[in-house]
Amino acid sequence: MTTEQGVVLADDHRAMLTEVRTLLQTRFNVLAAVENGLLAVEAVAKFKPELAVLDVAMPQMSGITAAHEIRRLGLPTKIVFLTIQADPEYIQAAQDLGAGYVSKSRMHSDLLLAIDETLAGRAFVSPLLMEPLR
Amino acid sequence: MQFGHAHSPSLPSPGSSIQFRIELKETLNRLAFQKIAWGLVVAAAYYAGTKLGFALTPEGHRIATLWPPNAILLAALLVAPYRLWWVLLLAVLPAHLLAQVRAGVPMATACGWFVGNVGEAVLGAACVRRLVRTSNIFDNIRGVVVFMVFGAIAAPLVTSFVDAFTVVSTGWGQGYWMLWTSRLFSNVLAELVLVPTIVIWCSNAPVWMRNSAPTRRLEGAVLAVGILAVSTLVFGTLHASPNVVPALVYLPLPLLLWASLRFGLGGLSPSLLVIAFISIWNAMAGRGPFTSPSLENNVLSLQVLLCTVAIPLMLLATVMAERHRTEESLREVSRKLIYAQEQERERIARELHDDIGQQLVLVELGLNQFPIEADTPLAAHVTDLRKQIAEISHSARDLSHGLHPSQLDHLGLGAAVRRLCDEVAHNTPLAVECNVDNTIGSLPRDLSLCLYRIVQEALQNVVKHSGASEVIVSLKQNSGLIVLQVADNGAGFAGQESQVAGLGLMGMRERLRPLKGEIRIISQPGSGTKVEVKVPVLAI
Repeated sequence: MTTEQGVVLADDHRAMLTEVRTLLQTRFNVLAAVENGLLAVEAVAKFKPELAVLDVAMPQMSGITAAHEIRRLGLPTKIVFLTIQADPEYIQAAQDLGAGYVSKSRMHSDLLLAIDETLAGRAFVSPLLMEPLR
Repeated sequence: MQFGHAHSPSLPSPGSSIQFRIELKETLNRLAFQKIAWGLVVAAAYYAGTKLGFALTPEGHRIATLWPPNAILLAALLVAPYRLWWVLLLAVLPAHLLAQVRAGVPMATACGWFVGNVGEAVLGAACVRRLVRTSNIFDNIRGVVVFMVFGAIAAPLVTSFVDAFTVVSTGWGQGYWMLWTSRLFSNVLAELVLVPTIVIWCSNAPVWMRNSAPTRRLEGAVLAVGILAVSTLVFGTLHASPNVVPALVYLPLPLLLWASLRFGLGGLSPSLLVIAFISIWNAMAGRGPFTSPSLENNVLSLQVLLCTVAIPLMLLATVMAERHRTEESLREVSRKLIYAQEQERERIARELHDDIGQQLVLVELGLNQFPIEADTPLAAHVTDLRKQIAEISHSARDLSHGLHPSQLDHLGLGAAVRRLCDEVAHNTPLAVECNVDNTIGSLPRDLSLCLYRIVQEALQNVVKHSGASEVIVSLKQNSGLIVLQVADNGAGFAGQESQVAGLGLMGMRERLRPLKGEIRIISQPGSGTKVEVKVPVLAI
């Protein structure tokens, strides 16, 4: 059995968390699935996974802040944001952190690809679904 | 002087009865100390007041021109808790007798006067406390009027009968109604000027001293010096002669108005006290603006003058204080409203995002998983549905964002402001330049939200009212101060800024007030408008 890479998931919406877990557990070893940024940082510090898939909008601590915290702790974990937010400021923030950025509505098509790219050290951003309707 | 209330000991676990006894003794000691302290202080003040009253008694007269001790005792009875009243009354007896007997008053008269004096204080204080809550006697019209009617007029009125009777029946003096009148006025005046001074200064002076700005303290000092100077001038140096215009006696009035309007009753009462003291002291020495050869008449005129000036001014000062309080509570209400509104917006924004937004995404994902052959009518339908869901998602996100910008919480004020600028640039023909300082660290949440709302409001005003083609938004941090500017090249406006900005400006001011921020709007017709906000930020 090949050693699967470890991943920590974080999303405050339980159904979404289950959905992501189902998607990833065929290829990865899901070490923890938590519901806020604070627990995410703790889990990453404890399990030291190769990867963390974080929602952005979470109580207690947002995904962005959690990512900053993980970087500050010097952990080498790669980060992919999986979120509803599609605004350019978020994408910029993700790129500043060297993290991938996947739109939730494109989860099935983009997430695994994003993870591969990010683990390989390349940036990945989900193509935005459509231009804002104004 | 304020003395705290003793704490009752909490009962420790059984088996530590020695501990309990020690704590009980400590508490009793504290309570006893409190009683002794109160008693000593009030007795000493009463004694000093009595000596002062005797100093203000003209030679050969039986009744003082100004009688402080009753007022001092009444003030003490207003400030002290009910359970300490017996201590105070008991403590005052020896002080009274000592001072009176040493001044040569016969024991019988002194005892009779004790009943009158203490009776006045008890009667006044009891009535006032029955009718008004002690914490706000002097900060509202009702309290002040109750005090005036019962404490300053009714109580001295009733007990003057006792005191005048005492003098006549013990043979210490004669002329019942003359004694009654002079005793009445000297006590009414003392009550009016001394009681508010003592009560207000005991409760407010330490706080005021600590919290007031230096300019305010300077103003108070200038006022005090002014009162002293004018009183000495009017009452001390002007010699009664037909050439002197008697109306000059009203010279202190502008200063008293200043005290009432700017410092309320807490400033007016000590001013009145100073004027009363100086004028009476000088009148007894034969100086002053009143020309009657009879000292009694002069003093009576002075007392009547002081009383009739004091009463309306005290009411004015109280009305001003009430008005300030109303303004303050209005501001408090608007602050609370703004806060409640933001809370509600955030709640709705969050539910739109979390509940509706996430569930829509799940539906979308579910649809994606349908095994559909491409290029069939079913595939077209499904694609259509997916598009619709994406639109709904988008609308929900926009709505949520309009209520409360998530960037503010997740990415900070700078990102949120940049987003606002982008939106305006995207939706309107305006050219927007956004200069956000990247070195601005993370700010407190209420500060970020406040500044965000101000930028939002200012940009809306530019879009709706200015007719501008360019707007520059800048956000910088300079030595502990956040500076926000929104400048446009539009039509500008003259006159009152509030006319154009309307409720928006008031809302901005109210949001900034608890943060100690300031806002300025600079505008000239034809040369655009600039909104400038400065808020202090504690250096981390």
